[in-house]
Amino acid sequence: MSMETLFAISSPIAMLGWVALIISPVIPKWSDRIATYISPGLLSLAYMSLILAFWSGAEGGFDTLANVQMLFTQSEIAIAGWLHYLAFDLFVGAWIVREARKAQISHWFIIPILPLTLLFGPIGYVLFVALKASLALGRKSNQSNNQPANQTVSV
Amino acid sequence: MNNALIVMNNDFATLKTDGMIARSKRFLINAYADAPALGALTLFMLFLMVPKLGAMLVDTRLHNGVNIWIKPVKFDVALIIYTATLVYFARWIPNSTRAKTWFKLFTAAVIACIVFEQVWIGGAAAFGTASHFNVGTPLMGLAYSIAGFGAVTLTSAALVFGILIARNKETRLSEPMHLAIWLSSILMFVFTVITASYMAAQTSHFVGGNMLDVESYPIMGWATDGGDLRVAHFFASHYFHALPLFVLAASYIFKPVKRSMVLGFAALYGVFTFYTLWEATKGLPFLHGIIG
Repeated sequence: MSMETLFAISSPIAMLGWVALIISPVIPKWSDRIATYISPGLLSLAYMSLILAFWSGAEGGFDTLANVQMLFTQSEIAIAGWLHYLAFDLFVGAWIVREARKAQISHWFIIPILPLTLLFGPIGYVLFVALKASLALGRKSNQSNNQPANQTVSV
Repeated sequence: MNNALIVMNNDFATLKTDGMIARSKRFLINAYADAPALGALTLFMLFLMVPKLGAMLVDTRLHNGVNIWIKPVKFDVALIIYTATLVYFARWIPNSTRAKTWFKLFTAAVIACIVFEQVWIGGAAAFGTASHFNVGTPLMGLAYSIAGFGAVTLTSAALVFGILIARNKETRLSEPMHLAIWLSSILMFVFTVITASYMAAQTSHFVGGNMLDVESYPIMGWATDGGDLRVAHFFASHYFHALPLFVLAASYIFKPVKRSMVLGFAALYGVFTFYTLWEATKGLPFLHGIIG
């Protein structure tokens, strides 16, 4: 299989997961299955195959920026890196959706964060963590409001 | 009540026994309980200031001669202080009012406007372009008009808070402090809208000078080589800090603080704010001839 073909089929596999996450309130169980296991799983298997086949022959390394850049000049390693992005960004997206559900954060807040996680993974991650922390304090204060005023409340 | 200090009865019970950290924690938690949505927004903006400070460290692009990220960070600081003040003032709005649907929808609209301003100003910096006064492309022109509407909406929170606090007779605040808080919240809205709309009607916040932020006051960044319309906006928007802080300070000196003192200071502050506006329109730097 050519690297271009692999690249072409990897995107729809990832997109399937992202669509599942966007509509997760409608299909919570299947969204978790697709975005946590099926899509990242397929992408990771392809990644693993590429690394098994091409890593030993690759030039470069992880020790310097120049060596990392050299790794990515080889299309087999570059597509492995791309699959890594797709798989792990989606996995983080799935984690965000599960965490939001657990913390009872409205899905409307999560909808703009998901495309950002797809395009710029860490930005979506930071936004979600900041959002969760911001809302958590508000929730805690609501609980403490029902307690006697002079009771010490720990954050 | 002669005591103008803003101390809630709840706080008195544990004031002596608890440490500083425990008290600060409880203070924050109680404040959030009064305005959970605005509290969450304040914290959210505080978190997101960190990556912008990081961008400032690595970005070499300049805007008006200074680092392109200075403006988004200044707006972060300003909006964080604004929403934190609203969170603090929310305790003097009755619980029943804060629980009403219209109040929650209004708060949501204010939050949406603040988020829009943040994305617009931060986004413009990331793309290396101007936010305010930028009508260069249809998209940025549209964004600037929406931002104008958004700015008035977000500032109207001070007006609404001021009116609601004025109507609340059960605030447990001393009379001068109650007056200072509701009056200055309303005046903050009025003066900010006047000074900011005047500025928005121009093509730049600079009047004369070299139109760069290079020759400027430390921290504030106001022009020292010409007029700067941002000065009056700054003082207008700090109306609702200045007046309550005046009452707080005055309560240590004059006991009790009189109504007339509050009104007198409010008038003086208003005159001063208009003076800074007039000064800028004449192309003069802030306090020209006094410290400049």
